[in-house]
Amino acid sequence: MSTVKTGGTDLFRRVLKRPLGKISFTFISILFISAIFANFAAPSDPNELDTANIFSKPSLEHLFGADDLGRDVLSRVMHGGRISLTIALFASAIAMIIGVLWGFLAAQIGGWVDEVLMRTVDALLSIPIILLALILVAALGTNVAVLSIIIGTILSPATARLARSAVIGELQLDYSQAATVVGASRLRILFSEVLPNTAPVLMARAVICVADTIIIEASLSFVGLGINPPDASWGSLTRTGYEQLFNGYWLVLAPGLVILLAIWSFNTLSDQILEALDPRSGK
Amino acid sequence: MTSLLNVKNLAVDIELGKSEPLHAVRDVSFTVNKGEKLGLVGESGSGKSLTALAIMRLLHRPFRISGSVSLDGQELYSLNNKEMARVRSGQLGIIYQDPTSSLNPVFTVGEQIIEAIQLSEKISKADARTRAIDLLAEVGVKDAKTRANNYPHQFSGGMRQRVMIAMAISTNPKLLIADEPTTALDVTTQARVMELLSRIVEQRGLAVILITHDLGVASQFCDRLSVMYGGKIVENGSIKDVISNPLHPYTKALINSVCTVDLDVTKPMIAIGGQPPVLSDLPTGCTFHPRCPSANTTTCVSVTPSLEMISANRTVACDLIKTESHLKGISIA
Amino acid sequence: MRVENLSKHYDVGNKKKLKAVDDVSFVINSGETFGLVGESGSGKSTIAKLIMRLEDPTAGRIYLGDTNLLELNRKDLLDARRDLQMVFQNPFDALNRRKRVRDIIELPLKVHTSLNEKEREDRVIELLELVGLRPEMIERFPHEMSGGQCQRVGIARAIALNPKILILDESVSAVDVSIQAQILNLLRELQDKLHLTYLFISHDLSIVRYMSHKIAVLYQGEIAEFGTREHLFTNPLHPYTHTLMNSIPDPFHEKSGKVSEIGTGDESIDKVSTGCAFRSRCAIGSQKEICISSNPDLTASASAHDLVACHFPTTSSEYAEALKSVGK
Repeated sequence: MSTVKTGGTDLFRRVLKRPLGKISFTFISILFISAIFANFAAPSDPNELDTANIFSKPSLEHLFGADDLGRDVLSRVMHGGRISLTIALFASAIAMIIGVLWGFLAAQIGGWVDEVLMRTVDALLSIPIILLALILVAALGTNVAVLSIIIGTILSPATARLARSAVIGELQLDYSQAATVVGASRLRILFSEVLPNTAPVLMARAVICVADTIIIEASLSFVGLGINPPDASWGSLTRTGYEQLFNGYWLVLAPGLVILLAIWSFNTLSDQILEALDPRSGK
Repeated sequence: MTSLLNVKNLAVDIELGKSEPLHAVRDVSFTVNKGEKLGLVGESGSGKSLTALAIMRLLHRPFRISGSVSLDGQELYSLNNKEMARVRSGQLGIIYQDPTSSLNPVFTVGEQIIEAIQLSEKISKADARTRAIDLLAEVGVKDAKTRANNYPHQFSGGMRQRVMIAMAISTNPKLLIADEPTTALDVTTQARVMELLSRIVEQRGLAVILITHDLGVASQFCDRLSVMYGGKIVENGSIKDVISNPLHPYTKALINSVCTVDLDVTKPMIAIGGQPPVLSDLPTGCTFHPRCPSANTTTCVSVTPSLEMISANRTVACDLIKTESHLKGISIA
Repeated sequence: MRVENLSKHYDVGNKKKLKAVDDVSFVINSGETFGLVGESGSGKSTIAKLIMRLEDPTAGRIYLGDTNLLELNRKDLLDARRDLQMVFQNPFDALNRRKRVRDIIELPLKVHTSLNEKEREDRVIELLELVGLRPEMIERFPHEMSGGQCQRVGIARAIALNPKILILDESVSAVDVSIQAQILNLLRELQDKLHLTYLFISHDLSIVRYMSHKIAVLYQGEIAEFGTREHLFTNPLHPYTHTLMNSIPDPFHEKSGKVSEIGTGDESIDKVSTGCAFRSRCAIGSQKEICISSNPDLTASASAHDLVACHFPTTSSEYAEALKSVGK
């Protein structure tokens, strides 16, 4: 009789064994490393003007070309990653913390509390995300912190729903009943027994939140309601590139590709985590 | 008695990528004659279910099968997929353990039987429907005409199993394979289903392979018994012989483990020590030796015993028995 | 333990009620094993859940010693759980797949005692040895063990606090036959060593007989027959008990595993709403007025040894005759 190993490091190893897991993880690592070490890794200073090379095509000197002020597009994208990924990580963390508490509370207490909490989730989910984001940003302003909080909050209802069903599923299993029989308090059962078992599924969700945040932030910045100059995020770079599209396709290429790559990688990683959890033969 | 199914040196390996494949079924050979009821008995890790799936060619990657399976003279592993599908629908009947998951919940019971029939022969839907209703009545579904339009969830567990039986025999198969058909049923329901199965099998002269871990069920239904342990057959014989005079130490131990109504309550049960074999860590030599009360340290640990004929229709895979019978110069059974 | 008039009814719409457990009463004495045997729908697992307070009954009282478990507030109930433990059916599911054996068995000790880490570990090792597991198993995860080993861990967890009573709900149904024998021996051994009291619940009559001193046969939420092991098996009286005994296939008895009931075998047709629940399957009751109209009470048998809920208690040979006369 074989049961799936669901230990943390074990799961990690299994994900990395899968080809898509390897690829997506590699890309994500590249994105993070190039963002963290942008100061060293970027070919030039993102704000360095190179007036001789305004709107120059991709060349050895400027791998993805230069923009309207002669600044190296690649370097700007790498630095832009800092902002985009920072927002993504914070928003994901906020979405997870709020969502997990929300969902756990609903699952544990049940009854009318569960009803109220879940109907709120339903209501919030029925509003298109971008619309909600636009309204909140218009009301609260835009900087890294505020954006993280807004996006994180917007992503929390879906997280709550997931957390709730994960907990309810686990509470029905014998080991939860066994913990009750042994006399463990409900709080202890929830956090000490059930949480570790829901962790993998929640981790997959956290990764999706990162991907979702990147899209939302990029969309907001694209319409001018997100990050604004002089700060650059992938979204705002895409916007300026789009505005100056007639001057060179490469202005949009780098930030657009990077966004594409990031979203694909995070979504794929999340899928791979979920698939690695599924007991398939031989895997 | 003409042989209907001939399984020779069947082996099922599970490929695990870089590491050594797991040997789930090893060198299994047996025959089933026309109209004969063979019981394949074993516990977890014995490979009995995989053997059945291999016979029906229902195993794909990462399972790798070697050996030969011939049904009525036809080698099943040399057929292409289409031909095999036809054999499966027309000559083999299958009954699974859990009727809930083997019946499609979105189709009526009648529709599923009709589909099975139409897959294996050219017959009009109306004729197939009549046959389906007759079959349902034959397996004991009252009001078969109306009930044919019911969905599986509208039947109780025992009735669903009867529907499965109806579906399995609907194409007039030659061989019925029943994999733990009554394990999920109450004992009173089990009695009904086994009685039904006996009657149907008698009437149609079907050959049956009954896979079960329950010696009681096997003893009441089967003519012959093959005992499996760790992927191999360890003993073969008529049901009466094997139960009244088990030869292989595992068979003896298995029979002793059965809790019956006559058991002496003042004494502890005669239990086999140890755990069932784990595929990734099979013992060397005889798979049963770590748990065998009579294992000796030289032969049993190093030599894998093969099935030897001890007497007419009786084979055992045990070096100790083989030695004993050679010493005695006569058959033991 | 004293169970009095325990009932659990579910509302199933259309103003109908499903009586999973209906007015069940029994007494379990200290140091003995009380067996509950029944098939699906008998209510045996519901009774286990009600006693373990995993669900609330519709009516009745459950006394452990002098305390009515149903009247305890949350805090007192948690305390009472020291004395009332359970071993579950599925060995793997009953253990938290993310926890090691150490954490699993330690849990009751953490919750109810103030032992420090070292003391807890000593007690866990002691328990492992009691259930026949090597101390090295303490670091294993459930998926690294066999079904039998997992069940032993479940038993170790259940006896960690020396409970007054242990509920064994189909505790050997999900393991191989050869492991079953091992576990049954272990349970009996532990009962002798630690003077445990068991409520042994199973669908397998032979196993219930082997383990229990007193046995109650359940049918559709009610006790059909009750007696000591000796009396129930030498002289069963309820037609359902006869049916049950006859349907067990025994490798050593040629004509066992037979159908000894009438009716279609189709639950939806055989279910009755008045009178005795078994009458549609009973060779005797299907013909009698009184069985159709009135549900029999559990009363003492003629010999006064057992309790039977039947208008026409019969011996097994008489019942065999009755079956023959209706064509079975």
